[in-house]
Amino acid sequence: MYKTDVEAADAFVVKYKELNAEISKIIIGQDEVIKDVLISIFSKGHCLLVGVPGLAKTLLVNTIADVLGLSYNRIQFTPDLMPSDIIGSEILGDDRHFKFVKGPLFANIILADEINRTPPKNTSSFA
Amino acid sequence: MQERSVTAAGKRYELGNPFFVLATQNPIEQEGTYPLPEAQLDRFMFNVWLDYPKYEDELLVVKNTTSNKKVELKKILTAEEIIYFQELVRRIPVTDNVLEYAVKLAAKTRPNTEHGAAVSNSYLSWGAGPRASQFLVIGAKCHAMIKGKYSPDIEDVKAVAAAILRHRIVRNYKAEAEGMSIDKIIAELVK
Repeated sequence: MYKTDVEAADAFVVKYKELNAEISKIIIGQDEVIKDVLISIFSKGHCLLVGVPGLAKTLLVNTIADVLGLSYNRIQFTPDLMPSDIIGSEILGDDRHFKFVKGPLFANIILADEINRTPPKNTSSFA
Repeated sequence: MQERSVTAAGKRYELGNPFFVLATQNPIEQEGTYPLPEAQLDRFMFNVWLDYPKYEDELLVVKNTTSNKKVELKKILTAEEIIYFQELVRRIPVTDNVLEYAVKLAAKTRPNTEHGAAVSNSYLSWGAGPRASQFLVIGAKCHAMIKGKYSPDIEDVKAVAAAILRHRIVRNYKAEAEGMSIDKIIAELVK
């Protein structure tokens, strides 16, 4: 993709600035938060956002998924959610065989909304 | 999240690549919630605290969202490019003194151990594990890259320290009684 790592690192800085410019069209302010989320994506980490309702947490994830060109799923965590609602489950198909139907976890970016609303059995199904 | 695969009905399924989980939590309403177990909390690289927007920002937010202004977003990166840059972040070199600083910083949070800092001994009941050291180094590398540097320095470790340590250290009753917040303790540790 790039000839040398130095060239790639320089390209990364340019891409990062473009990402920021594009995201700030939708998200106003919150620069530190955007920076932290992008760092965790490029470090192969995951991110926990803590904040009161209405601070554009969901919008932020939506926007980032859009500009990164990745598939995106949102899971709202509720007390009665089951692990199979997240992972998917086997159902009987037309040919009388069980087949696995993938749940919302099979995407590049997962927004786990209000993750502490659900018992740990669900979070442990993917965490 | 850690394994990047799930098992259902005895079969393993690989998850998407890149795979990134962003979880949200509401800090005010605790009724009917199940706090995340420490072990699951530890798998998150960052714990980011969002604050209310600045007055000027909020003015602009309200102005933009109450009109019918529509914004089209461009796609900047593809999945392959993201994977490439993720590998690139891991390839950039790190000097020994930065590595030592990151590992020492994590060790300083562990109360009543060999490297435990005085502030940890008096205000913390649990410190951060080795995963914190790993994330401090990889986070510093990525922070250096976005700043256009080819190798991280100690400032880069400090820049990512708060978000990495916040959910990995547990305050004791003395810290709560004296109003020592987590961020105050971390500020003391990186000083």
